[in-house]
Amino acid sequence: MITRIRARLISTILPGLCPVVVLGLAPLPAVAADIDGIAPDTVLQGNVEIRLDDNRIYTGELAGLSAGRLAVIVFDGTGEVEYSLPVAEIDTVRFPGNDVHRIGLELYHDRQYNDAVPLLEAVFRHRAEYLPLLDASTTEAVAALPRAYLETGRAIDAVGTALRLLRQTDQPEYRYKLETVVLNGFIDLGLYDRAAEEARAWCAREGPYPESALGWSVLAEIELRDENYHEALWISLQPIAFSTARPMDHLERAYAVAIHASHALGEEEKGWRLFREMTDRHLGWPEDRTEYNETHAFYSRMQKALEEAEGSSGDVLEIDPRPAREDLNLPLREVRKLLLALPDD
Amino acid sequence: MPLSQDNRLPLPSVIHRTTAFLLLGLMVCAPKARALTVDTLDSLLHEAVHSFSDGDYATAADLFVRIEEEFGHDPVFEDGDFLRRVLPLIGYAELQSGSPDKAAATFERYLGRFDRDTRPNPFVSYNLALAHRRSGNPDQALRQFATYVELFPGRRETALAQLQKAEILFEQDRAADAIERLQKLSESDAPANIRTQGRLLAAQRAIADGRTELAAMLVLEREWDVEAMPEVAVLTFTAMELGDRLMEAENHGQAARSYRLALPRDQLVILQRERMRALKENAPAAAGGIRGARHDFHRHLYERMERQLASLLEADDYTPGLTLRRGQAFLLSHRYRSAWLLFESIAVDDALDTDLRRDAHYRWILAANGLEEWEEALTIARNFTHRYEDSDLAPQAFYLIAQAHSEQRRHPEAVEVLTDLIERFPDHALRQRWHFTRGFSFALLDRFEEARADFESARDAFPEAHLTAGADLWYGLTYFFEQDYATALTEFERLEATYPEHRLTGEIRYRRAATLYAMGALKSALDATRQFIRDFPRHERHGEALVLQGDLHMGLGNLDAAVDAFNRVSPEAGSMFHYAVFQAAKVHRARGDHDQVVSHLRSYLRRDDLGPGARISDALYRMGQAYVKLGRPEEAFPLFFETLDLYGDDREAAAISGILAALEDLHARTRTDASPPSDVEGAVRTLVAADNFNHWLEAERYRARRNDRPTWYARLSLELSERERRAGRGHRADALLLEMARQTSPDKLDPRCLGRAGHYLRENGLAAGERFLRILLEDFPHAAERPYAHYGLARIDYENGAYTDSLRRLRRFLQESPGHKLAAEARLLKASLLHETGDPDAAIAAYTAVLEQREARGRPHARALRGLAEIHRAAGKPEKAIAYFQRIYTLYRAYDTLLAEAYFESALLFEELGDLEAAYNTLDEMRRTPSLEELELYEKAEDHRLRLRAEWAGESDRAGKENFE
Repeated sequence: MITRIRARLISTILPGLCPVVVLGLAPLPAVAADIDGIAPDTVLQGNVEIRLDDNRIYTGELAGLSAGRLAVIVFDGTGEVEYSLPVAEIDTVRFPGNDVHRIGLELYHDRQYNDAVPLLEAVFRHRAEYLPLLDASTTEAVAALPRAYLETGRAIDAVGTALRLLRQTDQPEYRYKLETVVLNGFIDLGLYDRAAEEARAWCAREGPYPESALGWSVLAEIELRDENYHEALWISLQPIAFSTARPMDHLERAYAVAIHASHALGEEEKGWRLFREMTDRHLGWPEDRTEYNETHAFYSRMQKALEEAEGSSGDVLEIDPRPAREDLNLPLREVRKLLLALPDD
Repeated sequence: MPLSQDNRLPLPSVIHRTTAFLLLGLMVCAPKARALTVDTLDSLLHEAVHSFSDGDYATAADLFVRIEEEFGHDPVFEDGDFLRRVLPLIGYAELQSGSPDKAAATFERYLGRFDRDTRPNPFVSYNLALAHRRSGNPDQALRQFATYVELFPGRRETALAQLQKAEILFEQDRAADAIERLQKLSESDAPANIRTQGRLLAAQRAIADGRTELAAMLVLEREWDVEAMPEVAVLTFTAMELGDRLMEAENHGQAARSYRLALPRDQLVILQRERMRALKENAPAAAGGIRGARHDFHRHLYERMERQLASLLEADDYTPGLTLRRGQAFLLSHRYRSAWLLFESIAVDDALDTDLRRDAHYRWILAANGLEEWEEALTIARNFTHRYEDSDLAPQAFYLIAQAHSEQRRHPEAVEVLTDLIERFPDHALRQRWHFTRGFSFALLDRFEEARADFESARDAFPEAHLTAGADLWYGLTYFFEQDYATALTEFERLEATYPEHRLTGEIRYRRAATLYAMGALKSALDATRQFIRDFPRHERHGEALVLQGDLHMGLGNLDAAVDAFNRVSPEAGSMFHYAVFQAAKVHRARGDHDQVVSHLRSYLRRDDLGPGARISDALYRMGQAYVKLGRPEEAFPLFFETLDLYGDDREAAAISGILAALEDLHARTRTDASPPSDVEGAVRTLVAADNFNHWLEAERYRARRNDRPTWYARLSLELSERERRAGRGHRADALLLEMARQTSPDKLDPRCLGRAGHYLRENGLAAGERFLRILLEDFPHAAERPYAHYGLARIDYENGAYTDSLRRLRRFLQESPGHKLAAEARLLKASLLHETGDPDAAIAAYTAVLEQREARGRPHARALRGLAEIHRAAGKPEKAIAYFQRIYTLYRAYDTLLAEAYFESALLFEELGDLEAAYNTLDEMRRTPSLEELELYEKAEDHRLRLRAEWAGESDRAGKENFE
């Protein structure tokens, strides 16, 4: 049922922006790249056309969405009328400014996150509140902002916006992306306890044959951080043991942790086997995990030596290109120096 | 489980452009007919074309036939263009309406008429091949498809033609050819769907033909684009079947890879639906009722996927079975953690079938065992036996529990479980193994008679089984461990005769030689060893045998032969090699050939293949010693200091205390030399300059603390402590030990420090002592100081009432270290234990053994006498007890406490016997021993003496005797 809330005389539409506060964090900045010379906020601000199921159309400014009703202010020539429309009776909503989110998404998909953020912020500012009414493309743009924040080093904003959107959407594909941002964001912020809590909840939701290894990878990385190598190894092996031919997100992270933990535990043979398997499955080493660089270099050298040996003679040679371990034999260098200094009898 | 699959290939046709051309051409051609016949021909032609467009091929074919029958004489039929256009349509209509032989004839007619004149017609060529195939003329079909491929190599249908050929070859039982073609197809640049289909088909046929290796190559060598390929269900079940074949062939690693390609059902259903949706959305539309090749292909594929999906949804969920297979593949390829995770997920899932959960649970135990997580394995196994007590697998699970106990050296618990197992399942097929394992546990507990009973059962009840010879060998070995060498020898000779050419023959022969050596029959042992070395040059005990030979030669005084034997031991023999090197060095040293010692050990140090267990510090020490013997301390000093610098802080390094002793000796010499060396530097100078070796030790100790070298610090502390104790400054010695124990973490202490400090701490009631001793046994199970641990822990067990464990440790101590300085204490404790556990005869024998040890003279002997006295008193034999007490106060007057107790206890016994005079006299003698006056017992004895006097005086009065005072 539609109700006329009020009518009033307004001669001008309030200019400017209404800053949106996201979870008590700093308001999103109002500056964004222009679209054809016009500021994105201006582009996004225009009238919205709402078509109901019975084909009635309302054109005006949105004034909020709550309790299943959309508030819209329509200027009817004499003044403004505010309507409250039941969302269930709305057929379509046409928002202005599609170029903003389109360009923002293009930049986002091209990984030009710094340039994408201002546009996505503008979209978020004007559209996030109306998430259930957005089309797929606009929803994607809104949901892209948290990840864009994360990629530009703004973990707090990433987590804040992601958590907000999680409260608003139940679409699985978006929830997955937002939960990924939250997990990674907590890690970047050093909030390991929170990250562990979220990761455990994630793992509990996933079940035995998961589609993503993220929850386990995060938990395992936290254990690695604390040098709990056994725990890290067990946790990271979970998604690996259950992985199939279907690509699994973040599986390479799980492998990297498992290999690094095996190596730290002195189980180099196991680490080597996992490394080979990872390579055979064409999983690249996660570049952002610089703490495993040494481990990666170690096994890469072994891989290279093996390939060279196989290439040269066809026989697999027993090569151990590792630097010599510190052991009783090592000081022989010193001892031999001494022996060489002593006269042969 | 496998889904039904329709492997029939779709009916392709290339009608789009060709047919439109043909149909259009027909329309253009038609108006050329005569007015009357054109109407009839035209209408018929229109009707035929209409029917054809509507897909009513049967009607179209009939109409075309009628057209030819009625108008075949018409000039229009003479027109090549008309026939060229209509014949392919007629043929196609005949083919589609189920008359392939007619279709073949029509197409052949076309080719006969137009093959040379016009460009080859791919439509005709392909459909002719199809017609031949459907007419049951496979050879002709093959030839025609080959022609098609040759004439039209780049067309999409070419790949389909290859698929068709492969199918025909399969039908003709020419699987190898078919598979080869499909392999080539899968590696070509044909469309992805067709390549995938070809690869899957080839793999399925290879599996069906038992060509597992080929199937594995086809399935595993290249990736599958699971996200894009439509036939993902086929891949899943093909991969599972291949996995099963690979497991049968014991190729577990590849099996694991294959199982990984199989998707769990939930994922497969989702993917299948997505693929079907995508296929529907992307399916090419039929144009004017004429289906194109792609349309047919998609249609058939969609129908197949529909059937697969229906089967998936109807059938039971195969995912748990897949998970179990994956776990098994991981288990057998030693990836125990992954196996564990998979098995656990099934075992704990209440929603799953009980049999499956039980199987998974049992394998979960195996995974834990594989990881050697014994505590966990025990828990999982116990849980299994609790849940599935009646299962056939329960006995095996119990056995694994016993095994886990045994691995954790909890042999009594292992014995308990195995005993229960043997009693509950007396007819089980694995009973031999249970007896064998229990016998082994008994042997480790030194319960040799029980061990032999089990080995006998394992041997006699199963004379032809795998473990029989092993059980027989162990039967003999128990005598060896018991040091009953004569019986052991008899047994090994029996075994030699029983198993002359068995895999254990070498072992038996070696054991016989070792027994002869233990008996002191050196010549016989040497002969036996030589024969073993000659007959078993590649036996695992070859190195040991060479060492034994060397030791035997040494014992027989054949020093050259000894050195020769030792020098033949190679580094592959592990610790035996290092032992042999130092034995040879010992020979050179014994001969006074110190140059040879240096040369020999220098060669040892220069080797690149020393491996673990290399005794570097020991070698350097011995070289230094040799230099000292050669009168070249200027070469010894630097060597010793370099060794201390490199190894002083290494808890694994041996000979450090020996180096310190050598340095002390050198230091003493430099103090006595008239002109001490002036050209020394650094550490050597510091030592030489020290006026007192203890001061040097103190300074080094201080430096070690400051430089964070804890092991070195502890060693110096122990050295200093022992020197203080020898100098009679016991308090200072104790303080140093306590400080060392407090300041140093036990994991930094070497065996000497652990043993001696552990012993001291335990003897003084400090809890840390037990920890030191346990770490000594754990970290250095073969160290020379382990007797301290055996004895100390035996005392702790005794104090805790764990008499069996205590006795076991003491037996081990006395077996391994009968000459240790704590041996007398160990014997006394053992005797006391035997008495307390109700075996007085054994206790008497043990005490008597102490008395027979010359090294135990003094207090230990006195204590042994005391023990004997107590035994006889407890046995109600006071006279014998008195005799033992009397020996104490006659022969061992230096030990006040024992002396006082002997006096007092014997007086009480005299009193028990009614001999008050003897009782009184005994106490009187005690009273007159000044050294006892400070003892508490002295006052008690004095009170008792006075009471006795009064009593005795009363009796005297009554008897009219004189007052003895």
